[in-house]
Amino acid sequence: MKLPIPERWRQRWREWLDRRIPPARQIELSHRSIFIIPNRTGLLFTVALVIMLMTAINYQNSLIYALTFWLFSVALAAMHFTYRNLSGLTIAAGHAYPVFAGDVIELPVRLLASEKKSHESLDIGFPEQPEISVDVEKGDSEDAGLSYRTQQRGWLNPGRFRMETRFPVGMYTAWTWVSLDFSVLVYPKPEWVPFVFAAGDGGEELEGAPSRESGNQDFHGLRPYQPGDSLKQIAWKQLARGKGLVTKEFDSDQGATCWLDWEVLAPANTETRLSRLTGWVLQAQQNGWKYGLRLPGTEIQPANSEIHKDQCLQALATYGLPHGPLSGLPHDKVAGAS
Amino acid sequence: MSAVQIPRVALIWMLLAVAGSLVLHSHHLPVWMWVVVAVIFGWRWLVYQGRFSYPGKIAKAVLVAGATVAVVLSFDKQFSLESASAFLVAACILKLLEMKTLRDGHIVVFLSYFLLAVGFLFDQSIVAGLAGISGVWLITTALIALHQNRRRQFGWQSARLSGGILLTSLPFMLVIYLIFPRLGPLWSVGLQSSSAKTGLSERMSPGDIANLSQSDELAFRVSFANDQVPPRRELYWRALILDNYDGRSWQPGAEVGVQWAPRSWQPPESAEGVLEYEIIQEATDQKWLFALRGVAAVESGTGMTFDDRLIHRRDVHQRIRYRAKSWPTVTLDENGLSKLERWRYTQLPKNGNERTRQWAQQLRAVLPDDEQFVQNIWQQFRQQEYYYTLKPPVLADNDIDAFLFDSRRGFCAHYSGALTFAARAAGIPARVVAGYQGGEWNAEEKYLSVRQYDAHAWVEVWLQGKGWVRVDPTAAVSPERIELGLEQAVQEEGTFLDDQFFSAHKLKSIDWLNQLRLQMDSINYYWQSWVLSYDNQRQKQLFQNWLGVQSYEKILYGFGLAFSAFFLLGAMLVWWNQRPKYRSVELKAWHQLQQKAAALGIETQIGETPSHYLQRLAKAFPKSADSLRSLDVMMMQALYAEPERYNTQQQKVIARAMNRLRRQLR
Repeated sequence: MKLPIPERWRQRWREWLDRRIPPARQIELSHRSIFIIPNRTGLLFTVALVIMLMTAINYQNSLIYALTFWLFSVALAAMHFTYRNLSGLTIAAGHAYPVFAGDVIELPVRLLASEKKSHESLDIGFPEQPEISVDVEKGDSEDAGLSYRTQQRGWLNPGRFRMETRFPVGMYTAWTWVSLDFSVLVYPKPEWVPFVFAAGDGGEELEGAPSRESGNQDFHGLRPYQPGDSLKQIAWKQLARGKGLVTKEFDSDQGATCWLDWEVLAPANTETRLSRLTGWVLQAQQNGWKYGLRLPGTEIQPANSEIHKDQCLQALATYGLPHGPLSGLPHDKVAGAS
Repeated sequence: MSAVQIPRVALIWMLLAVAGSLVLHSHHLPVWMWVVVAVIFGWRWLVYQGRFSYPGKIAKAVLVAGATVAVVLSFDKQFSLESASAFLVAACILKLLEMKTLRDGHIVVFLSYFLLAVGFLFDQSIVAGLAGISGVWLITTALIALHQNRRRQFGWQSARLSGGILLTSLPFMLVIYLIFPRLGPLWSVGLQSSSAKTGLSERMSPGDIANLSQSDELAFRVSFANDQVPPRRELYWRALILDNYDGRSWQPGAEVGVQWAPRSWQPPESAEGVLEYEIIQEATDQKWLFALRGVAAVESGTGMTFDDRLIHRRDVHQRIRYRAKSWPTVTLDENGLSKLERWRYTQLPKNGNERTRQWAQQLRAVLPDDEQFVQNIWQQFRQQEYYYTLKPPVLADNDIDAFLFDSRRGFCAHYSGALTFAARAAGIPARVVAGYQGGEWNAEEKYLSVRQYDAHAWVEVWLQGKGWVRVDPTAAVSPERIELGLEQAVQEEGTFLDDQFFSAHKLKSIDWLNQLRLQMDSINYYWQSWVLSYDNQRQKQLFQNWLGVQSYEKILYGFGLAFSAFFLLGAMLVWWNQRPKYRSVELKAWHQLQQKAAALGIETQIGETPSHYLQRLAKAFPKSADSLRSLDVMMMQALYAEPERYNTQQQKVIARAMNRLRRQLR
């Protein structure tokens, strides 16, 4: 099925698509963005029509002529109806939360129909990802979550997803390749390694730094569950015994302060270092420590909060990358508004 | 993709669609087939409801093999249109049963379309046309339902949409229907209907018939040019010459010498009383056509035989239309018969019917003149106790003897057979002619309908100096048969269409019903002449009358032009609707100025004020720097300093300045 298309041609195709259907937060489908061709069912139908025409000619039967021509006209009209099923539909990117690289994300897409017509049986999906089928009634909107497996850290650039329809008669495939700017940040894939704490300026360990052994999670005791506790720490056995939700507490150094430093991971390459730092940030947040982050050119003062965690992860995600999602695209530019 | 399951709701429409495509096959499918259809529909319904399972591999094989054997057996191993369509029906419903994926659904839908088309080979009436329309609608609805979202509930939206698509495509269909060239058959189709056609047959053996079955089925319709309609008693439509008598039945002899259409004999220009007419003939599965005496072939594909008949090159399996000319007063074979012909038209079996032979020879001794001899027998039929009946007794051997001297009851075949036999026994060349006599004239629409019950047989004898002369002995016995028609001729007997229970022709005495029947008949006539017999010639005629164009090529060019004009206009409309719309002149001029500058390499930046932009331009184009700066000032003043004075006048001034600048930029 997949032909080995030279990368050069694919590149040209992508560039052409980018000119024709520029990436945006929102796009309204029109003749510029819709492609349509007859498919295999259409060819099968053509064969059936040819046989019918032969029958009409050989038996000189006017009613078969009429039926054949009617179906032929239907096939032509169907092209318009299939095109119409996509045109006028507005596709907008919804708000998505950050994810870690390698996770499968459900990218929210909102489909808005105009007041004039409904759109039926739209199949949407990223290449090599499961497709979902959506109907949008006239004047209504429909939300769809498109599965996408994230690959790299940074501002997510999922590329184009395909929206396809064969409705109503299945003889044509009308499709479009849409690139939406979802503005989703992908954090580095966390890697779980033991902490290595940076020495102070003088080489000594910082005051109040957690001991190296801690974080190895020595069992400390049980306490009632509080919302926000990690699922990993829930005492499932206790729950199974009918003693309610209880959280396992480990040896931790609540309120300890530490620095997570780029430099201590010295020999490893950039991405590995970022992954390990990500793992540390998550663990430190979990342990309730105050942690600071040092990256070349960036320093985030120690703290412990969700906002602080997101700040650190964002710094890790965008380290060394140009600013803003989808390089070169102004963040708030909306297609059709200019 | 091919593994996509069909949506549940589509199944209801699929069942309806297949049922719709089977309607036109109701007449010729064997009864057991309907039972199978019902069982399979029920089975599929139970599968749909989850109460039964799909057929397994073995069940499928058994079903396919069983259906094949059953079809072959029930059609006596004949390969005819009926058996072929029964195969198709079987294929379609078995596919319906095992249908699971979308691809299966497509195959069932396309097969249904084809079945619908094949149905028109059996029935082309208006009712069949209407059944076809509803069938197309159902099948298209099923096709749409196949592509609907799986979560949809059963509803009318797909039916409405299919109606919409069908109506949208109707005008284009009509255009193609009218302009598509009507070709002759590409190859001769071997597959023909095996059902027997009623009416005229090639064998006439009156002695075997106890009850002449009649049918009010249409045989053909005639319209005459210039409204020259001959009187009813002259309407002898000749089809067959039965000149070969074997002692029991009359049959046509060998076919020799046909003159095909353009090179056929034509009546001379000076001839008077030449009739031109057009016939729409129903399928006969035979070559013969119908024409009046003195025929000349005009339509290509038709020819005239040496014995004054019109025939077609191929068997007529479908309704056809043809023109013909007749010169009824022409003298045929006035110069005498060849030896072979004389032998042919006087030959009789060596023995049999001795009483008739003796009677003829005795009469011949008294009347040596051929004409007087024939006249005498005709008079005898008229004056003596001979009766016209549709229920004659069955006659044993020597049936002509038995008829002439004992039973004295019969219909046209008895009388014409007996007269021909007697004439030949006396050495006078004679032949039986079979065809139709009369017809029903529709005065409003001016056409003649000839039905199967108008079938007739009469005699032609050859007389010195006069050539072949028509003698109708039936007219002697029952003048009403010729002057008024069969119904009047058998009124007393009450046998008109007595084996047809529901014939509208029996209700002729009720006036308004008869009016209604005639109305229906003329609607049917138009249906036939404009829809069913729309052929090459009709097409030409239509182009000539409506558009005044003669050649087909011109029509094609015309339509080509019309279509390109249509698409060009459409494209222009789209372009016009998509053009950028500006709220005012200066915004348009501003946009154009930006475009020009962008083409020269200075793009507008996000968040840039007009003033800043103009300053950048002034830097890039020093030549126009002054006018750029003054434009900046002008805009600032207009927008901020004196907004109350900013009116259309001001807008135009600014727009003009912008346009001037744009032209300056290099």
